[in-house]
Amino acid sequence: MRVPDTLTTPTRRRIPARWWPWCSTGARLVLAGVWAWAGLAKLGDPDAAVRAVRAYDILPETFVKPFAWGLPFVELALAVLLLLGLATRPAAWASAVLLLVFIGATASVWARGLQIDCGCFGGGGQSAADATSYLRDIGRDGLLLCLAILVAAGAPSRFALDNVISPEAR
Amino acid sequence: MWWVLGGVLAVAAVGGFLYSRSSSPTENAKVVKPVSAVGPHGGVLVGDANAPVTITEFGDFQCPVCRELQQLWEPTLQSLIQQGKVKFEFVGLQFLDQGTTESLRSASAGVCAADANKFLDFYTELYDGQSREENSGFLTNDQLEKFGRSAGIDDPAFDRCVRSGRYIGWVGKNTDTTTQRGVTSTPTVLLNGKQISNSVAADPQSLTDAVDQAAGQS
Repeated sequence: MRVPDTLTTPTRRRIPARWWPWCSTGARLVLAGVWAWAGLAKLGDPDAAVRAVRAYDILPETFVKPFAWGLPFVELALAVLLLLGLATRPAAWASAVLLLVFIGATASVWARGLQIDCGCFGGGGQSAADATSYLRDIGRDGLLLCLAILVAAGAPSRFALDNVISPEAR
Repeated sequence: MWWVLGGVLAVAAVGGFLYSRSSSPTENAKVVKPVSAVGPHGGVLVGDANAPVTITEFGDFQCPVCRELQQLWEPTLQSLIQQGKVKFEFVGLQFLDQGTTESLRSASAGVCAADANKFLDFYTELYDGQSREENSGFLTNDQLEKFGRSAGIDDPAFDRCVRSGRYIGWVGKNTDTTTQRGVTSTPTVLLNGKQISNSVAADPQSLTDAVDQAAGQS
């Protein structure tokens, strides 16, 4: 006779411990891909990058060009570090901080009623963006932030140079 | 491992800044002041200098909404300019370029057309003949010269001005100043320095009323 479902003890399904390093590896590579895409997209048009940063109306004018021109290369550097698995945890924490900055900046623009495109993957920031696109941008960055924290604080990932160079510091 | 991150990011940020500064098409262009009249926002100025009202358009020759506005307001604008009520300032911007230079070079060519005293004809030709696709490679220097000829410009100085990109630095400077003012979309229209909605600008009666009211106040 079949035992009714209500009498069985519910069990929580947990991700097996051996899977965590692979989850961390996947998250690391996704982050590396997104940073590479974001950096490369901005690289070819330094003028548009300046307009995009200026459109946020947050940084004083003195810092607009240094930020706009430095950011794509910082994104690319993070992509390379994460791809290689070199200084993985610091790179993941730096990614988390950068994503928090982006989330804060988007929320600030939204709260001030400005209509701009985030310029996250190139473009000059000018657009008639609405609340939906701000929410989408924040949601996307929030998901990436979760991945960054998983890499920074979770299990050491596989296929990383860190494992070869200094396994004790993983 | 933090020192690795710090070193890599510092090198990337400084190297990136220097590389981008050297590869920016406007940053390295010489800023040449136009020979023709310049409006209060650095744009091309057309019409009677003593006209009581200034209408300013921040536009991009690749922008489809700018084209729609031009199609809707052109007869009214022409008439207001001819009546001496309005002087028209067009600030051509590099807004829609995506690693390309079509907006930049066409705005620069607009200033060349103003130097040839044919700006409004050139402005009409460029918007009338706008490509349906932005950054498609349509606005070559050859094409800009063709638009110039259709606008009635037969001065070789215009072709030289277009080919040399004489006003690229000027357009870059205007784009910088305009974005610093908080303008993030084209077209943005000002009437005596105050922004009016595009729907007012596009409606002949509303635009005429707004001009008459501003003329009465000045």
